[in-house]
Amino acid sequence: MRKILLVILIIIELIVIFSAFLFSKNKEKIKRNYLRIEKNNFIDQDNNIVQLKGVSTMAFARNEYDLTKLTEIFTIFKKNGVNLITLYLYPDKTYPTLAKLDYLIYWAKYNSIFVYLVPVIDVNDYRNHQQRIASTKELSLKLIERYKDESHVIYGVWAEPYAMSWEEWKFYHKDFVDRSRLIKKDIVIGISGLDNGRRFFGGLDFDYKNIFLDFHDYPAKNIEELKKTTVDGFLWDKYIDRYSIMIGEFGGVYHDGFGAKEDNDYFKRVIDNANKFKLSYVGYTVDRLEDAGGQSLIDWNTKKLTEKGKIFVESLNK
Amino acid sequence: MINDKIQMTNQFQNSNYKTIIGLEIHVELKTLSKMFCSCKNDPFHASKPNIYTCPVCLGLPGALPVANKKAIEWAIKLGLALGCKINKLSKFDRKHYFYPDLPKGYQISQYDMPFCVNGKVETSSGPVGITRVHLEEDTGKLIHQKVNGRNVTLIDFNRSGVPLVEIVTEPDIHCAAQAKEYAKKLRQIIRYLDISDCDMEKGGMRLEANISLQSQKSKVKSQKLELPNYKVELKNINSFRFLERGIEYEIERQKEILEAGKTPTQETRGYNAEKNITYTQRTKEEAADYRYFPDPDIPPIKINDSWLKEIKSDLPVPLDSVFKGWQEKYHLKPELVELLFETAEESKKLDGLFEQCVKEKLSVEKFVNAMVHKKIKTVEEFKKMTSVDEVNDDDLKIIIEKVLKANSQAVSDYKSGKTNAINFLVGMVIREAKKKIKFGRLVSLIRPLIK
Repeated sequence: MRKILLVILIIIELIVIFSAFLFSKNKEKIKRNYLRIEKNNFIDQDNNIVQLKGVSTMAFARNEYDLTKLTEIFTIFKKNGVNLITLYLYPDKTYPTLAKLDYLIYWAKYNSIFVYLVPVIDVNDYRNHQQRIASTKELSLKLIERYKDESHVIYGVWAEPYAMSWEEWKFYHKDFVDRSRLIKKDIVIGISGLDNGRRFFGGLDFDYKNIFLDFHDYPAKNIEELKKTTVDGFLWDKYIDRYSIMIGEFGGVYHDGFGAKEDNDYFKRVIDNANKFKLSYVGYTVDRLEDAGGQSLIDWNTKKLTEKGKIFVESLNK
Repeated sequence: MINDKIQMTNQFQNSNYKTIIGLEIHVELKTLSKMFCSCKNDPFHASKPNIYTCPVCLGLPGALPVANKKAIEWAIKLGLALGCKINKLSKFDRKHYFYPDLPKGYQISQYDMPFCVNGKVETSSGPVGITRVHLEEDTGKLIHQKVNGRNVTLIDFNRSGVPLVEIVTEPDIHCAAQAKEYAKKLRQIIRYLDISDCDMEKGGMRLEANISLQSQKSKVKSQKLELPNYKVELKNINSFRFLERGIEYEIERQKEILEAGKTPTQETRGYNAEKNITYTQRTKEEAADYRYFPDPDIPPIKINDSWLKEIKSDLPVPLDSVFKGWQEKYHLKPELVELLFETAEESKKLDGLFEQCVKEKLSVEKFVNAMVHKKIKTVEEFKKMTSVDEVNDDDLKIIIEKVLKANSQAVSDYKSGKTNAINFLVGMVIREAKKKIKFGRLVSLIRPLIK
């Protein structure tokens, strides 16, 4: 009888030790996904400088994507070194599908990928622009509240506002940052200038702790314009010593000619610059070819990388 | 949300200047023939330059213009859609100036008796008054290029005499965003009426903005807003984005001049999209400089009640009412549904599809989403897309057990209070089952199995 008891005790002890081991492993795994900003760098939980390399999707703005397929696509990029996904979100399409968003947030967490949540001001709804601005901010704050315990999630202010003055934009940032910090003290936020980040005037009235600058860089409307455009430097050149930089979107053109040689050449030029200075960058986009055309990095049907996708993946290990 | 709006408004009010903007927008009508002759009106698809021409649109001596009735009806139709008063008597005038693309030395336009006056377009920042809607003829097109190594300017008269409607607003616009919103809405209304394609790339719709800044201090003094004693015209802008950027630049430029104690010069400026700046083109003319007088070749036009009634009967349901109706009936957001149609005819077809959805007890909202994002076109396609596969509970439970085992971290997250983690498990079950299963059903099956 005593022998049996002893065996039971040993088994229980082993279970406890094993559980503790598992728990600590889990804890460690969750803890791994943590970011903060120091000077002009992203720093992870091990105090290492981390260069975020991500891919983005408008899936939640479109709200019609099969998440299983989407995560398969993310996995392909993760295997190649991507450590961040950017999700663009429209308020009215996000609220009814928060469960889907939860799925993706936790999927990223269990796969050690950072998530950059960027609610988008719907510029198509020009009838109700002011309300759109307000509802976008409202969604951001609700998401911060929802995922405040998930340290792998960072947040962004949409870098493509619609005809806002700097005063207006400044106020938007100030209010957003102040209110976000009330919900999550150590929140990491990406802010942007006007006109795809081109016109960042500074003078924002808050502490820049855990703040980074997000740029969307498309220098020309179409290839013809791109050929004529002389790009001497990049939008972020004058900020790289002072701020942590994320090149959230980039390409040669913003209207026509996506995927053309010149567009892809510019795309590569940005990546080379980002890797040279260890700036974080996000390739737009992993959305389906039929939705994003020449901006797509991958063909969902064949799972093959597009020309742009190849440039992107080649850059990941540099 | 409301607080945000109030605070933003206050931010604007703190500014020392009020921006005053009026827009003049030219739109080429897509009538079959030109405004004052029977030449084909299709300059964008012409195989060669100068093939759609005749003595009238080339301005040859002795040629007599005859006004295009359809163009007049369409201009009035637009005026009615913009809530304008229609003048019972109207006439065409000659506007004199020299330019190589205008061989007559004058443009046939309308001066003091336009077809339509006093309309209104609603924007999210308030109504924009329409001063007038009038008709005129377009000019020829100058093409600057190199021929045999020499820089030359060529003229194509295929566009000369194309009916052009001009819509002029009151100075009711107060920021670049509102200007863009108004212009976009106007284009939407014109396309809805199906009177023009408003192709901005090709010059089928051209935007001009008159911009000036009013000192708020002078307003306080006089307690009423007077228009500034100058205005700057930003001309020939061919995209909404450039309109917005150009206005923003101009506001900043004028602010700097005013703050230096000077008054900006009254002038016409162009917009350089590459550099995102505006630049001087010429100092601004006044109406008197054009020596307007009634065109003696075209008799005044009387718009009697029966003709007006006929035009009105051809007007579609107002666009705003269409959106409002769909919003009330099906909870459809205008910004989404507007992506699915342009003309009134197309909106009618769409309405038929919505009714079919209702009959078949399908969600119109989801149908519209599928139309926009999945590019489906019929209710049948939608039905096929949304059919749900049935899996019995026992089979599902086996899958759930497997998923819970493989995702212990999500299970422990859920147990530790992160209840949203259950949605990850739901997704994993769907992934494993490879079938569409109702979300609520899965949650109710997973919860007890976690506990």
